[in-house]
Amino acid sequence: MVYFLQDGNTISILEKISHTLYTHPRRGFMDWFGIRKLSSQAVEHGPQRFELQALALHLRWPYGGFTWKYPLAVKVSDGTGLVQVLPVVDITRIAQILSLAIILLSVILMRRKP
Amino acid sequence: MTELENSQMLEDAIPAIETVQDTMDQFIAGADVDAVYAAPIEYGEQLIIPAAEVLGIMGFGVGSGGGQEASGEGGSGGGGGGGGRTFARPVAVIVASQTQVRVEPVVDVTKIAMAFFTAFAFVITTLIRMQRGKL
Repeated sequence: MVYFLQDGNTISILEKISHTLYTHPRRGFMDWFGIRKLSSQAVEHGPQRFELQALALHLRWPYGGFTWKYPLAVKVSDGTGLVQVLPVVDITRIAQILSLAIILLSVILMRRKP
Repeated sequence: MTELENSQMLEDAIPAIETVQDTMDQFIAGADVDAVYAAPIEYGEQLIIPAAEVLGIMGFGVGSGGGQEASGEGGSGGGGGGGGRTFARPVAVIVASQTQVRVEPVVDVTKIAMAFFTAFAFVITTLIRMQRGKL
């Protein structure tokens, strides 16, 4: 099955669809991959104002994509002007990374020749 | 179906593909934190905001084909499909009272135990293999 181009040449349907996907008008390099820090609008609670911060990573390819969003910190400002940044600590992830580190460390130590 | 009809069919399909692309762009590169932080919940004098890690993957595919029989009759067709999956895992809960704000971590004991048991089993197995002289 072929697609007729304006210049009289023909290309296959899949080539044309790929062409459409790759030459999308808004597509630039940063649309394919990006890491961004996101901030929410201020949430008010009594005298305090919160700004919720998150990290967003996206990876895009012509037929799909991947996204990962992660909470980073909470910026708290009270009525006196004092601003405090409270990091969001992920204990489960730290423990998982630690156990992976134990495995890697044990492999390195055990493979060292005496 | 003639090749001209085929190309017309394709031209009709391209706006649909662009719509799918736009929808995926909005989903994947969305710049809001709503997916990570849930809407604040008021509980007495406290304000509670749950926070989660969100992971999403999606894709689609299109295909077409055609053929011709010995009698001269032929046919062609095309189709497409897509799918995706979103995973979310609670990470922490932000608890705000009138006087203080604290971030309470959500600890998944099962995941932690599984990770450490795996590490422990790996280390023990490697030690045994080393003692037997296989490493």
